[in-house]
Amino acid sequence: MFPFKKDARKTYPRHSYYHLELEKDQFKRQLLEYFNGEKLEAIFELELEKDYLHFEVPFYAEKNPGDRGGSVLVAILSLFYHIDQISIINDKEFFKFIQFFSEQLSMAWNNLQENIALKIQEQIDKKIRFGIKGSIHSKDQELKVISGILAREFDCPLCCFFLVNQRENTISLENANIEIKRTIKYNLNKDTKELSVQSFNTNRNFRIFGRKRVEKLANREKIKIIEEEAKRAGIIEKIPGNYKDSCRDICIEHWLSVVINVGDIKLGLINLFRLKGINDIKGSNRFDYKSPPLSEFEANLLERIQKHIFNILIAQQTIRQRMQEMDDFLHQVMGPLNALIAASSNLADGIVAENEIQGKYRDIFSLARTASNYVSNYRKIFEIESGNVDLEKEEITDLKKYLKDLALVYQPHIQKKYLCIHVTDQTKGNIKIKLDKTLFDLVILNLLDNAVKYSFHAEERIKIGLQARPASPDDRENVLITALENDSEVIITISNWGLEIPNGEKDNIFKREFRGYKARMSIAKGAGIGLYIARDIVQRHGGTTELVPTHHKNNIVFKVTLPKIKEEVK
Amino acid sequence: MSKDLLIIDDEEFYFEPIFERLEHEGLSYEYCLNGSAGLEKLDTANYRLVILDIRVSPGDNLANVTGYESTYGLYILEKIREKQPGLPVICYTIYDKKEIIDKIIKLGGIYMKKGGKMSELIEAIKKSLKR
Repeated sequence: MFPFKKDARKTYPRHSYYHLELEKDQFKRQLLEYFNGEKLEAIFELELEKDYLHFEVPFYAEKNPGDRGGSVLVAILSLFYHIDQISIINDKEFFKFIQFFSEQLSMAWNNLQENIALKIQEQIDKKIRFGIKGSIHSKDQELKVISGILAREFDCPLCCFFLVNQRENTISLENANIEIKRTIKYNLNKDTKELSVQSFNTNRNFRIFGRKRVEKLANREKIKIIEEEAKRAGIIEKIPGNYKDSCRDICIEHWLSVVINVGDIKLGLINLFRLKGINDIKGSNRFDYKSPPLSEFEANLLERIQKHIFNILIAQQTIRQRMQEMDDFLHQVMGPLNALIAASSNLADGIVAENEIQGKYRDIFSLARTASNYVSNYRKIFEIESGNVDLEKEEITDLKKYLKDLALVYQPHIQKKYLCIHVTDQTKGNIKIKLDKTLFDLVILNLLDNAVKYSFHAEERIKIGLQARPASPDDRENVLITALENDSEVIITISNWGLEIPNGEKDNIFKREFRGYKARMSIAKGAGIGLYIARDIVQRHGGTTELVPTHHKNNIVFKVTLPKIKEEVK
Repeated sequence: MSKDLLIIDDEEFYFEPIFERLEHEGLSYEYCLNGSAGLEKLDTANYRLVILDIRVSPGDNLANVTGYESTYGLYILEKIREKQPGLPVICYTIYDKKEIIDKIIKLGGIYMKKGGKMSELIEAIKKSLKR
């Protein structure tokens, strides 16, 4: 029979309660076996009135579906570490129970995947805290059970703290609460996808306090938790520069707390101390403990749980990445769109001089094309990831014209920096390449977007000595697009003078969502997907994309190499 | 030197139509590409109003400021409040999260969403300048 039953009497809005019912004699037998019976026999002289030990496991299910997974997980761990300690883990029914919860965990994970993107994001922002409180309500006649649990706990807790009434030289524990707290911290490394359990089995306290003391401590604990969280958040935030991003792993803390409310556990404790041979309790307020090795069953269970946690963390991380990506994308695309609205508004309101209208239309075209390019990038990302990219190649007969047309998109942008885009064709002419133009447009536009965005303004170039004399509209410095060829390849280079790419970042610039430190400090909007997409599309055309080493750190040159069409064998 | 407006936003090209409109309305302005340049400008010149993007780049001098990922404008707004508590600041942003709007208002900024009619922006600017 499944030992856990949903307690229908409890109808708290956010909790579902389960309670464990164990057959009294079986439980007693197990206790006696475990505790080397004879000594414990003495404290079983009173029979338990009830036939079961009641253990409540509330599930914080409704507030956030993610909590469910956490609660279930914590329930497993909590029960695993408490009920197991009185040897019930070997009970077949208990094993079924663990299986049941494992299934629940899987279901929770499925829920997580399906519909909780936003809520999970909120939780991640708060450094997710999953919590559970289980209670063992005890009547006087159950004291022996409690003392049995305590006895087992005394065999294994890391630290035990007793509050002793020194004045009376007694332990005054009437109306006392017992709190067992465990903290487990999981970290998922964003880059390596490795899961580590940082402080598993640490920070475990077993405390017995008087009620007033408990209240004080509860407040102190709350403050401590808040402080810890603030500190942790602070530490994360204070890590400077590039390191910060790499450290933004998801960190989840499972906070386990089992509060055992007892009316009077004095007798149980005295029995316990007698068992432990502790007669002088004055100096015995601390016991060191070494964690016992895990059994095969425990190890398997733990592995399964950790696997589930890992999957949950991966799902959460993916959701978080997608949301950040969406936010970046929206900011990037809204830039030209808002400018488009403003420029159109100026035209509609008639504030543009007659002789400037033509130029404004060019600006509007440029803005619309830029926004369209950003949207295409975003669509392309999904196509790339779903493996759903079909090339429809056509032969390019006039490469220079093709490149010039694309350069027009960014010409108005770069003119504001007193620069211009200059296209040169150094091929012998009559080159033959096949491109999917819709896709390849993105390659050139993304490379141009970067070149234009991060090019120094003419004034800045003069200031840092890259340019000797003041630029004028008639004497503009160039972003260069050059077409070259060798026997088997066509090479397109796009070069500009602008923000340097530090050596440490050069290997990463084609990675998805990578934005260099200087780039981020210079322009806040950007999705970091342009170069990733450019390289992917070029690869699909059988070519390569690379950042070419140059003599000057501010001279940035990207090279795209494409294979020429092989002559058809007649 | 005194100008009507200081604009702090890192996408100059996308502000071009707004510059044109300001000029048409006879308003003088200066433009800064990042937060630290904006704060420096405020130390050296007088302005009657600041237009500030919330997702602005911090610039090199503020590179060590953390905790404002994607919202460095809020930090800039805090600093402006310290320097010139009475200076009107229009936070011109595409953000519309309540959390961010509340912060802007708490810091005494005027929230305005990007992408609206130009006439509304001009109206808000003129209203702030009259204060």
